[in-house]
Amino acid sequence: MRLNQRLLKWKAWFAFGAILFFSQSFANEVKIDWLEKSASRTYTFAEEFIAADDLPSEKTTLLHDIEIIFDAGEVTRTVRQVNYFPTYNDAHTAGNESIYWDKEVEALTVREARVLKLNGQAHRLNPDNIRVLDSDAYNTFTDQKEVVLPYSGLTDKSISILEYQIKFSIADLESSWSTIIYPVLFDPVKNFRLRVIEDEQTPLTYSSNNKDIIDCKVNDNELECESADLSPNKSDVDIIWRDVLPQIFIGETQTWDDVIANDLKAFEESNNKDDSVQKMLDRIIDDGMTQRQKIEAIHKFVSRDIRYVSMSELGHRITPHTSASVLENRFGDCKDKSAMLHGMLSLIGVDAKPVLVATKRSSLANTRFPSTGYFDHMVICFDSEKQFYCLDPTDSNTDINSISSWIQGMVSLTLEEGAKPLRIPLAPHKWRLNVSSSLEFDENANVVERQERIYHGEYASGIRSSYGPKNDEERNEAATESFHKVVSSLVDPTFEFVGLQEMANTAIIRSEAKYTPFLDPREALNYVENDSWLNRELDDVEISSKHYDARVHGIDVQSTINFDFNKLWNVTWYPPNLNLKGKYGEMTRFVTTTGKHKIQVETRVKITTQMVKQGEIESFNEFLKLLKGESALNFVGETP
Amino acid sequence: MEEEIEIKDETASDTSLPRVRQPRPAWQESVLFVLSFTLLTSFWLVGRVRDLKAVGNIDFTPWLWFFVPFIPLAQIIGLPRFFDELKRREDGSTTRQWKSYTWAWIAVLVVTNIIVLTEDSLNLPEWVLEASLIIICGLFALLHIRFNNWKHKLEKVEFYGKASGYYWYEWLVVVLGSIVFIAYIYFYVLAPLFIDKIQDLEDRQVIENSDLGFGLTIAGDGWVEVEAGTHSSDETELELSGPTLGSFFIVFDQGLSNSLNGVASGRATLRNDFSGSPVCKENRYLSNNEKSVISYTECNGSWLDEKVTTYSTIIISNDRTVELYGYLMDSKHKHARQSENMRTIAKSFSPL
Repeated sequence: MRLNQRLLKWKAWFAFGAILFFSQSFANEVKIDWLEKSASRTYTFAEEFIAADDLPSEKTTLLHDIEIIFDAGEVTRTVRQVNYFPTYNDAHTAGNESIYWDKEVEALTVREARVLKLNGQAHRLNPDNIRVLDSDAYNTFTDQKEVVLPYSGLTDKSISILEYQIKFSIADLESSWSTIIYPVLFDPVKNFRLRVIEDEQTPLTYSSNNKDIIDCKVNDNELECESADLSPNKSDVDIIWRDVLPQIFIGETQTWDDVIANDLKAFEESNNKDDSVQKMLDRIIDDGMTQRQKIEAIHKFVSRDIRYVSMSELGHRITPHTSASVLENRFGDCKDKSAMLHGMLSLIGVDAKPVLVATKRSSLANTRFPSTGYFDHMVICFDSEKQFYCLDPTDSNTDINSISSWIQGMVSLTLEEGAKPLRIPLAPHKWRLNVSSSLEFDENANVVERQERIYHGEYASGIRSSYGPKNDEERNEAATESFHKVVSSLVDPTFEFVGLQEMANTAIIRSEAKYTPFLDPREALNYVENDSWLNRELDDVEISSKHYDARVHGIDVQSTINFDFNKLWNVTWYPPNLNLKGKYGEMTRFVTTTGKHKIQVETRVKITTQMVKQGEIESFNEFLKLLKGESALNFVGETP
Repeated sequence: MEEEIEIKDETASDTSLPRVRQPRPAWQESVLFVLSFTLLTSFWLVGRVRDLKAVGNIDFTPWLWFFVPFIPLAQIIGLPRFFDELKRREDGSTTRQWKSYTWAWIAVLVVTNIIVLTEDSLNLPEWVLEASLIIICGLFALLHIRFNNWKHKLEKVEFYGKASGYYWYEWLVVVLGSIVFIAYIYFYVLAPLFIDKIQDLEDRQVIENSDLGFGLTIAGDGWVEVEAGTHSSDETELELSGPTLGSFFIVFDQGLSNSLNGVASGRATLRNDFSGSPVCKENRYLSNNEKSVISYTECNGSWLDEKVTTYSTIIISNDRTVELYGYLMDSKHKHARQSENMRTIAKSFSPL
């Protein structure tokens, strides 16, 4: 007994020392301030759960509790999270917890991080194992870190218990405060609770996009939302999750004009029309250029001659660095590059506007409450000579006629008084491709196939981005691999690439392949040739999503194939003309005989950018299947 | 020593009497007129002009009268003179005259001839043509009786040939005409009587088959659903007989393994329905529900003198390939009228 007591005391001193040591070690990182068991509501909740009989059979969030308290401009956010892992698979795949933390303005304190087994055994997290990682640094207006908590002792039939607090001061923020809470993600949630208490200094606005599953009540200065037994969101692909997840927005009460004014003020800090910018501009353009050529030259300079480096440190969350410093460093983030682009365009007389973009949101309904918080990117948009441009200075592959593929359709806010969120325009046919092929049989039925693929606009940009950075050998390997996948693995063609380095509207890939005979000229002809590249585009546009509406980005593919059967066969039947026009798109084909043994097949597929309702996805994919079936070109003939 | 051959000059007979064709029974002539589809009337008229010319010297050229029975203008110009000459000889032989009936005879012949020549383009019912031919036969039978009466009263003429005798070329016309006549009677009269009719179909009536998942809409009148095997020896799912004998539709279940391309290429390269090489054109379009592709092939050609069009509409329904095959053979003008309705029916064929 004494020994045990001594041992316990020794253990307690050791634990205290360790906590002290790690607390010191993480003094500038993650603060650990373990709660006493009895003081931890989270721990008590977990213990109560173990005592219950009906344990879930799938990974379940037993408690998701968020408390945000405003007090004299200071904000304390307490999060309590209890998860149940019924199987070893769940423990393996989701055994780490992450906390997103802006360490320059926020103080993070972990108050409980423990694993509790069903038999009562408990393992507290070893603070030594905490890792602080850079979160996605590309396109962000924060310098958030990901704090990874690898639980010790987590196996099947375990419960993880986490409670942490984040404290910050409203005054330290560059823009007004807002947050979006996702009550339910991809596991069932047994208990959800959100409590927000505002103070007089910071009046808040809240909104829930799914009142059916979340019940929120406002009493005086307090918002309380509760829900139980929430079903998980259905997993799906090609989905912008922030558009479809249930979410509760809470933010400081303001108007869009307030947001715009604040962001514009920050944007103007870049001083983007100063002498250094003018001097650089004078080197980029000359008087002999048309206005359009000047725009092209400026865009090319900003996107290619200024490297992208994420630079959203404190003071520059939404405020660009000065253009002079960006020119000096020749690097910057999207704000810095946008400010430079904006400044140069202004100096040539273009009335350009900075535009905030939410690259992970396309739903205007879910961004109706004014906040900068939705946005993580900036581009420059303007009209010039009756044409609308939206230039992304971080995109060094897309020519000025096209809007960068990845921001099309995303929610944007033009920083201009009176503006409201809008979507960045979507190209009606984002993927435009012309394929010209010829297949020539010689007298021994050897075949020479020549192809020219001309990619346009956004598609040219994609090709440039894939093939441009590669050396000749790598480029040929990649093109051969693609050819093998799409056309045929029987041959290794030779390739020629045009327009991979220029920011032009087109990128061209030419190929030539020689096939040994695959048809016997002594036998009647029954030959099927797939319109391969067209078929591949149809494959790409197929919707994989099942549970949610899906956006289809339009395709416009024109394919011309010239067949020369070189007197080997008299072709008696060849592909028919097509006029397949439906609500989702169209496929047309004209077949002409260009000589006694020569046939030209011209096919065009146009599917316009559209939103396909969840209930119509199957019909849409069936429509594509029909078109794919018709992309096989069948020839029947007789020997002469 | 050579044998002496006696050369007999029949024209310079011993009597030098005019030679007139022996009168033939009117019923026999009438039957042959009908069997030859009135073609024999041309030969008949040439013979009768020869008879007239033999009895009295007139400046008729007999072979030219061959064309009169089927050229209305020639009838209007020639027949009054013909009847004048006949009348003059009848007067001489005191034969009973037709008086004003002559003009009625000519008028009816001209009208019926016009009907026969234009019925194809006037879209007249089939029976009008048949009635016109019968009337023409009747007119010539009447005229034959008149001629027989005249001949019986003739004196000082030499009758040659037998009463039942015909020239070889007349027999040729009659035999060929009889074959056509029998075929005509079989196809147009008897065969329709033996068709196993299931139901009459009305214009715009919809026919659906839920097992094979297809539907089609009738266009035009006169369509009848008939028993399988009526127009095909194959096992068929549906057969429709059209308003004309040479028009029908058949639905074939081409099964699970046949693809659209397989059936379409097979149909487009099939030449059995034509006497020459047809011109085929295939087009593909979406079904109304946009869930399947429909192949529509139309082949145009001919069978002897008739215009022939085949229609093939192929759909994929319930994972099976189903084909509606249509056939139309008719004279040019009738074909044009019927083909529009058949095209409408063929294009209405679609999955349910």
